[in-house]
Amino acid sequence: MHEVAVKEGLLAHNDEAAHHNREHFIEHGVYVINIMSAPGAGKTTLLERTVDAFKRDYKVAVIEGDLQTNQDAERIAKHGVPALQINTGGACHLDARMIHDALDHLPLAGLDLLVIENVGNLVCPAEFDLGEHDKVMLLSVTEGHDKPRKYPLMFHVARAMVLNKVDLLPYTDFDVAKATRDAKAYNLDLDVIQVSARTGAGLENWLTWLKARMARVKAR
Amino acid sequence: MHELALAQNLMAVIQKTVNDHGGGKVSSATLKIGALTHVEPETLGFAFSVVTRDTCAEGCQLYFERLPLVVRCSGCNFGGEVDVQSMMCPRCGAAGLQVVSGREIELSTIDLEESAHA
Repeated sequence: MHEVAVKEGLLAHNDEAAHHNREHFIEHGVYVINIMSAPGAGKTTLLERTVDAFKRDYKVAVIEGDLQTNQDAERIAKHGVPALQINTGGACHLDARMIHDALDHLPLAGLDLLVIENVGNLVCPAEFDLGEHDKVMLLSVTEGHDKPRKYPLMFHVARAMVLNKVDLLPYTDFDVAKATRDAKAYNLDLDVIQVSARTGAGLENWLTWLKARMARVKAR
Repeated sequence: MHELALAQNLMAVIQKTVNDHGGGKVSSATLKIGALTHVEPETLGFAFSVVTRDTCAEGCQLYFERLPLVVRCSGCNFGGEVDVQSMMCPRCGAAGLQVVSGREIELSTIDLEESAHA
C-alpha cells in the first residue's frame, strides 16, 4: 500500500463547465445573473417585476431551477419572455453542467439579460459557479438579520444583496444596519439594495443597479 | 445537501487516480476542507459510503483536514488567520478582508493497495 498525492479540487469539473458557460455568455454579449435565496424570499416575484420593467427595452430570458414542478417557469412565461425550467430532481442547487445543457434549448443570440433563478437554499448554491457575471443574494426581512453570520459564504460570493419585503420592516425586529454591516464584513464590495417586490418600493434602485452592471458587460 | 454531488465528484477523481496507477483498491482518502465552505463531514462520509458501493473505494475511510480562513487586510496589510464568525481584521478592526484561502474542497491524498496482477 502506498500514499498517492492527488490534490484535486472536488469542484474542478464544475469550475471548468462554468468557465465554458462564461465564454459562451461573453461571446454573445449577454449579461447573466444568478439569483440565490432561501425558499420564499421572493425571487420569482422580484423576477416578474424585473421582466415587466425590462421587456420593452431589452431581450430577457429566464432559467428557473427547482427540485420539482414547472410552476415558476410558467409564472415567468406569462410575462411574455422565454422561461426554461430545470428540475434538479432532488439536488439542492444548480450546477454549471445543468446550465450548459439548458443552453441547448435557450438561444443566447440577441439576448441582453439572462437571469438564472437558483434553487431556494442559502447553503449549496453558493459553492457552485455557473459562469454568471454576478451572483445576487436575495434576503427577505422575515428571515431575520442573523443570516449573514449563519451563511457567510453566500454573502462572500454575492455582488449584491437585495433586501426584500422592506414593507414588513415595521412589523419585525429586523435590523437593517446590522444585516448590512455583517454582510459587508464578508464582502466589502457588496451592494445593498432595499426593495419590496410586492409593493414596488425601491424597485427603481434594483433596476438601475441591473442596468449599470449590464452596461459594463456590453461595453467590453 | 450538496454532499451527494461532492461525493460523486470525489468518487470520479479517485477512480481516475486509480486508473492512472493501473488499478487497485483505495483504503483511505484525506480531504482538505476550508473554513469558508459549507461541507458537513458526516453527511459527505455517508454519501461517499453509498456512492462507493461495488467500486475500488468500497469501505474507504475518509479523513478530514480542516484548513483555516486566511485573509489579507487592505487597510493595514495584516495577513493571517481569522475566525469565520468574526471576520474583522484582528489588527485594525477593518471589515471586508480579502480571502487568501479557506474555500478549499480538495482531495489531498489516497492510500492505494495495488491489485496483485497489476
